Amino acid sequence: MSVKDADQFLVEQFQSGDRGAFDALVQRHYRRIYDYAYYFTHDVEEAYDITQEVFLRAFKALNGFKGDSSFYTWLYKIATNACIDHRRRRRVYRRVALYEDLNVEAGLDRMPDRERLPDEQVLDLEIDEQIKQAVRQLPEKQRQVFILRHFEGLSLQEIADILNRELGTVKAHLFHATRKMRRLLAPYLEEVAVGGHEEG
Amino acid sequence: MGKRVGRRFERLIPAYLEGVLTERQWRWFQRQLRRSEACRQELERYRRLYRHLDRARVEYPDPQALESFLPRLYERIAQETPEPKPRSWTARLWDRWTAQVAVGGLVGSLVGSAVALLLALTASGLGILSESRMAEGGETVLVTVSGDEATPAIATVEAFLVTAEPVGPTLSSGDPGFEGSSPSLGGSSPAFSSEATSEERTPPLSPLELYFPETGADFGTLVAFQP
Repeated sequence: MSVKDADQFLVEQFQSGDRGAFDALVQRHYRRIYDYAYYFTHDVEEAYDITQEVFLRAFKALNGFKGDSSFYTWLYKIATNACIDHRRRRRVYRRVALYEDLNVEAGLDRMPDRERLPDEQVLDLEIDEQIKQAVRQLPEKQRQVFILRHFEGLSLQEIADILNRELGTVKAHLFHATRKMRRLLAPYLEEVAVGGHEEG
Repeated sequence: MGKRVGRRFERLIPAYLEGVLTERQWRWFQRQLRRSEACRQELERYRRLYRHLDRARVEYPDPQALESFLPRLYERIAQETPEPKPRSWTARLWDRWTAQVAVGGLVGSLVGSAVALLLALTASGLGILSESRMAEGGETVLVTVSGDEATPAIATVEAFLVTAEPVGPTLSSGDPGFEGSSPSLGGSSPAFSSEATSEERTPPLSPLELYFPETGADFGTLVAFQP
């Protein structure tokens, strides 16, 4: 049974009253949804809360799910909306707690324990941090497409379905985002600058 | 490599890495790769970017939080989608009584209103048209009027009957059982002149034949025939 068929089977089970089927659906997908939320927020607690919110919304709406798209596409749609809602709420919050938030963004509240990590891991951490910062700088629509493509590994068509956009628009967003990321991460893409850490 | 060519090449790199270049673009792109070291280096930078992205790590909450994911989720589900609580027996009893009283009251008032209306009409002695049918193309029309005064009913019949030919016993004003002419049966309407004879009736507007049986009862019957 394919992933899609298995999901569809579980959805039907749930719709016929088997609540245990929902447990199985959560187990199968919560990691992916968490990852997606994490790439959106770069915050563990926020990603966790968003993931809970996504499955809560899914639980409420699952009886109305007709299977026009695959379950995980449907779930990503919910996740995208939840992330956007979260960002809106966070914007309001940022106005209130700007000083505290700036400290978080600057990494002052959570410095990596460099003494315990080898050089390569330190560099990876640094690049990770730079990627997070760069992703944050992408415009909203480009960021959605970029995350779904590069971190979630979805196809361009799947992304178009999830975001309800034309395939051409999705491509344009992705290519713009990729070029912008290349510029933002330029110092880490030069072979010399990387200093022998390059594997490829 | 010229600046314009370099810009065009760079613009096409993401599409190249996604494998969505057109054939023509792909050929041009390959040609540039063969010709230009700068193009190859730029492509390599993008490949590095992709590798970094692949290696980008996700931080997860501590294992306890992950284990409690489902229980916490169901907690929230229970909070946000409460199941309807069963109603107390007093509330159910109240519902039943109020429903019964409401339905009983409604039915009672309807029956009462109907009886009151019937009594009022009977007491006033107004004629009640109990049956009527419109005459169409030579159909027989039977109209029964109860009550002392048949005038309202006759007025209604007047409008329906236009081509009547007598088939039953006819009445004239002098015949027994004929109780005078009503205003609606007067000479102003040739179709319904009670004084007209059968010879005087000419289509299309023939007179209405009226017959009041001598029942001796208070309620008379008006019968109109149309062949």
